[in-house]
Amino acid sequence: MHATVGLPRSLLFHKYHVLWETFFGALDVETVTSPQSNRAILARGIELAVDETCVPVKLFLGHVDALRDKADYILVPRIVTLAKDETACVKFLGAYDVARNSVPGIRLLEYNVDVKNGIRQRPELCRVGETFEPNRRKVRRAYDHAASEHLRYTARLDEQQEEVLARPGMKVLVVGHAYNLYDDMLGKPIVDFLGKNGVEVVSSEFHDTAKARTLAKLVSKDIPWTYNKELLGALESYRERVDGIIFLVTFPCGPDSLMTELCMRRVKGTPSIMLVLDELQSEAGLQTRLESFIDLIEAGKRRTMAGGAAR
Amino acid sequence: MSKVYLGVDVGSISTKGVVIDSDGEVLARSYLWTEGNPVRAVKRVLTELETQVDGDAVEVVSVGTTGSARELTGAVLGAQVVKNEITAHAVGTLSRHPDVRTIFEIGGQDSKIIIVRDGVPVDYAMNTLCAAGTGSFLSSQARRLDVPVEDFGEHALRSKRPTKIAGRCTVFAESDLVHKAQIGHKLDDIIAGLCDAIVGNYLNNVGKGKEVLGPIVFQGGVSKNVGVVRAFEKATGHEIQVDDDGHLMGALGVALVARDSGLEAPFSFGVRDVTFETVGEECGGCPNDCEVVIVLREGAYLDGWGNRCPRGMERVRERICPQEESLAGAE
Repeated sequence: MHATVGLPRSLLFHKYHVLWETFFGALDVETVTSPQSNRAILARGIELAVDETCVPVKLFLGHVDALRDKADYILVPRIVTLAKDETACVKFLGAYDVARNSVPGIRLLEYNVDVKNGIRQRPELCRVGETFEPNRRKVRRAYDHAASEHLRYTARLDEQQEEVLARPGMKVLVVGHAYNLYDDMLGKPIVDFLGKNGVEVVSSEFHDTAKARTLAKLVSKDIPWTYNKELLGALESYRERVDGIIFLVTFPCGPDSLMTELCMRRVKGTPSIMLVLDELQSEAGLQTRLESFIDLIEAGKRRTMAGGAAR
Repeated sequence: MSKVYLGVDVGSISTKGVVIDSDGEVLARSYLWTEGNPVRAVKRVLTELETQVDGDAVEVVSVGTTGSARELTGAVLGAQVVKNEITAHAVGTLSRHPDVRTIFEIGGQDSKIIIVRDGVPVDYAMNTLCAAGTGSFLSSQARRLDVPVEDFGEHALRSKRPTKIAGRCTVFAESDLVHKAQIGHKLDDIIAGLCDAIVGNYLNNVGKGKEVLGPIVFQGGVSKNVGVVRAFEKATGHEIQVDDDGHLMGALGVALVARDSGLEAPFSFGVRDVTFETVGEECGGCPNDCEVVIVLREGAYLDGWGNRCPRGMERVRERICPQEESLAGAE
């Protein structure tokens, strides 16, 4: 019988699912993904989590719980650092231990990344692979294949973004972590609402990490969080090519609140708003803010056009 | 018969309505409490408005709704335009104050700032999750101090040394206020301190990072409080204009948007005698369990919302109005 590995559809899943799915697939290990976020998952997560944690962590625990009895193992990486002078947000350091201690009856695969201390992704994920496949060479080959698939996938996403940017019409950059942007309970209703109102959405997913780090320095030299650097890189790369910027923040995220503050001072000239999402899901307030934001951008565009004609 | 336009703004605390002519002149105005029942409030607004216009000389040809109950009111009135309150306020204010560059607005549960340049709104911000520092905050403190909120302004103006009150959070402000009263601060000073706290909170929170330039127009229910107006003038160093119709700007704005939409349909004030009922029910079709709201007009389905997928609306509608046939494709 094949072993199964559960992938919680939360946090880093939205960034690395191609890597993980391809890797386990190449090892003949079946992956099981938790369903899209829904109210039941969130409710279960709130039950399991400490009250003060952020909404994404609550959702994460709900997703881990949803995989209980659905898979032999669950994959939860512990990401400490991805580069020497950086750190990941504390939830990525703690996710593994928090899941292990909060959700009863699960078996986690241990997988650490701490580049600063010499623990790199490839040997770590390969070690995970050896749980299922004794042939080390085969595991390494599986990893390399998965890594190149991941790169191909993200490069395609970047290209798609460029296509969106090249299209005419109103474009709005939504700056937010993948785990917020692509979550059915958090970012997706917003992205859908924008789409329904004829707005092209450019996401802050920006996969050329080296370029993102360079660009991020233009905004802040000392922001330490890896994934926020990527958001800053996206902001710098896209902000002059969009009509408006929405900062999507989940309550009570420390790194995001600091970063958004920094950015909103920086993006003078392009209309921008911050939307704070919490577990209470008040959609009426969101709609008002989004509708008026679209109105505002349209009014600005009309003014530019009128001004151009008068000159 | 000359054409007139109806604008209704249903907020969390108050409901406002205006009837304007094609030049944007206000022919009738109404302002009353929502009291948690938007449909009843709208019907009362209609009654008040109807007495102020000559039914034989004018004809309402287009209706706009705004405010937090805009969807519901829009369904009830069969509105041509349903617009968010930020846009409505900007349009309304600009029609009266074309040179305005900053609009402060503090309502019952929302506070917002709209930055206008050259007659076009270019930026805005709204309070985030929490309603601290809005009208409901003032009302609850007024109750605590046993002073009618309408008298707050006078008390504040009498104060020479406003008490410093922690205005970040309604809960903390309340304990701070009790403490200040217990150690002997005067009522006038405490009320003036509350006004300062509202303004400080607003400028640091909603107005954070925005370029506040005059002329400034201040509106929303709280603008009726002269204590807050004075606190704003102190804090910004600008004169603060308060329009007598400041509370009607949303209704006026959405009436103007309705007029400019070119969409027209017959409307009768008689709608106030029609029975509307709203039913909320959880769909139960999937773990999202959407709370679907359905509006019934004389017992028949009129409109509904709250569903994430079309199936949710069908399910709830079938349960609530089983007598209606073949719902598929009705949405």
